[in-house]
Parts: sequence; C-alpha cells; structure tokens
Amino acid sequence: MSTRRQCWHCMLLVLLGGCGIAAQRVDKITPRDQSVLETHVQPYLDMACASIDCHGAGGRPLRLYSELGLRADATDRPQPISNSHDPKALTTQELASNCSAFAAVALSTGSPDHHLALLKPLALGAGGIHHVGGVHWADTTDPGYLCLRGWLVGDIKQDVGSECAKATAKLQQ
Amino acid sequence: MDTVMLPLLRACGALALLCLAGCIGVSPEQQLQKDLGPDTGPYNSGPLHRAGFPCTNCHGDLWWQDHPTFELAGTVYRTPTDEGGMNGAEVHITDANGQKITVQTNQAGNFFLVTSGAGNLRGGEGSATVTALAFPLRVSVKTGTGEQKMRGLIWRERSCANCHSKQLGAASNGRVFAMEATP
Repeated sequence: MSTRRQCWHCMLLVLLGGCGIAAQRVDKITPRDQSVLETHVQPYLDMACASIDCHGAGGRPLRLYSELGLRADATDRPQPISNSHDPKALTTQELASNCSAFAAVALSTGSPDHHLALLKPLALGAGGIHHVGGVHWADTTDPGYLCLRGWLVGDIKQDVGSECAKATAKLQQ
Repeated sequence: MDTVMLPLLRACGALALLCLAGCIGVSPEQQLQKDLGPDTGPYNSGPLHRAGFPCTNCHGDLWWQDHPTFELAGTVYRTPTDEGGMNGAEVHITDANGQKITVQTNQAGNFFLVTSGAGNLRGGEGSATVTALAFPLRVSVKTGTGEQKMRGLIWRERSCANCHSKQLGAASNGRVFAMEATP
C-alpha cells in the first residue's frame, strides 16, 4: 500500500472517530434531566430510596414521590396496588418535585461528587458519610451510584440508562 | 410568724412542683402510645389485641415495655375492605441475609416475629422465632387461593400498619391484604 493511500486511510479513521465523539456529546444529558429521571432513575429510586418508611415519609430530608410510595394527592392512588392493579405513573409535578428535592441537597463545594445523595448511601470506607438508612453502595463502582451520579452530573444517556437498569434489576430479584 | 409562713412556703413549693411537672409534659414515645387511641377489638392483651395497630409503637425499641421487642409485626386482612383480620394467612418474609421466614396469622389476623435470643415470652399463635432481621425485606402474603407480593422493599419499618394504614391514600396503599376485593 502506498504511503499516500495509508495517509488517506488514517484521515478517514480520524474523521470517523470524530463523528463518534460528536455523537456521544449529543447524547449527553443535562444534569437532573426530568425525562431521564422518569425513564431511568425513578424506577431505581422507587425500589431503593422512596419507600414510605424512608424518603417517601413526609418531613424527611430528600422527600421523594414514587409510584409505590408517597403520592402528591390521594387521587393518584385510586385503588390499592395489587397483582392485578398497577400504580398510576408519576405526574409531571411529582417528577419536578423530585428533581428539586435532589437540587436542595447538593453541596456547594464545586465537586459534583460532593452531593449528599451520593455521599450518604456510600460506605464510609469509600468516602461516604453516615446514613440512617444504611449503606447502599460498597464503593463508587456500584450501578446504583453510577446511575444517580450520571443523572446528577449529566453523563452519557446510554450509560445512565444501563447502570440504572442494572441497579433496579438487582433490587427486583 | 413561723406558724403562718411555714404552711405558706409549703403551699408555694407544692405549686412550683406542679408547674414543673406541667412543663415536663409527655415524651414522644408516650405521645405515640396516646395517639393509638383505644383498642376497638374485644381483647385487652395477648397476641390477639390491637389488630390493625402499629405493633412496634409499643413492642419496639422506642417504647420498650417488655421482653422481647418485635422484629416485625402486623395484621393481614382477607381483602382491602375487610374490617376484621384474616386467620391463617401465610406471611412469607425474606431478609437481606437470605433468611426465609413463614408465619401464619392468628384469629385476629395478627402475626409477629421475635428473636430467639431474647426468650420467647411473647410467643403464641401468630408468632415465629427468628434471628435478627437484616433489611431490606421482601414480603408476600399467601392464602389457599393465591398470593399477593409486595412490589417494593421494606427498608426499616417493623410495623406494617405504620405504612399500611387503614385508609387508602397518598401515603398508604391501605391495609395488608391477601386477596383482591371482589367487584
């Protein structure tokens, strides 16, 4: 192969690589994106955080609405959830309230990892802080941590979705 | 002078003590117990009393009355709208350590779990002895004809009724039930 042809191939590869990076950048979410919360993060929060006995309890810091837990209005739960009755989906207002709840517990240190919602469920040995609800993540490679962090800081959408799905499946077993 | 002043001083002292007692008020635990209100059932005590009430408000760490405190306790109803508890429903619990427990409700619909180390002074119909539960818990209720599986997890609450209050609403899925309501 001539040197000229090799150069062309290299240039083509560089261009294709650039396209890939551009595609990833386009796919990056804005921090605390509400639609990503609804589709990917909320199912994990439903199982891990927002039960009535934890962050679904009124007056609790980081109070969260969820399909299985606390609703904003009694009409959002017209009948008991059972084998044959699924819960009603969260309303736009409930999701917006959950987004605000997370914004309210952010720490103003400048580091995205210094967020109470990331530090409290994390094991003390991995840099976490005391959490009455116990340790949820042994370290920062836990799918639950990556799911929540990705959403809070605005990571690649596909990665957030995949980590959230893994974390939720682990709790639904 | 002393004969006049002494009774007066004593009266003032008694009044001051009464005022202080008024300031002390009730503890949060006493308030929790007060908030339960009277038992509407026919039993004064024992495994059948206070069906539908949050058991660990009294039989828990906060308001410790007697050994042992309950690890988990509640009342199961046949359908969401039944007024009386269901006898003989099977409650299946799996804790975070994989401990699997099955307990059958008594004639009031009550069940309660106690730890073996504490001495089963509160045993009886509706009880089971377990090792300390590791949260979260997965729970289902079975009857001869079916099973209702709780979709969420229990992360810390030891009384079913603290979340499953009688009234269906924004903060409750209503009572724990074994069967769907008939239309």
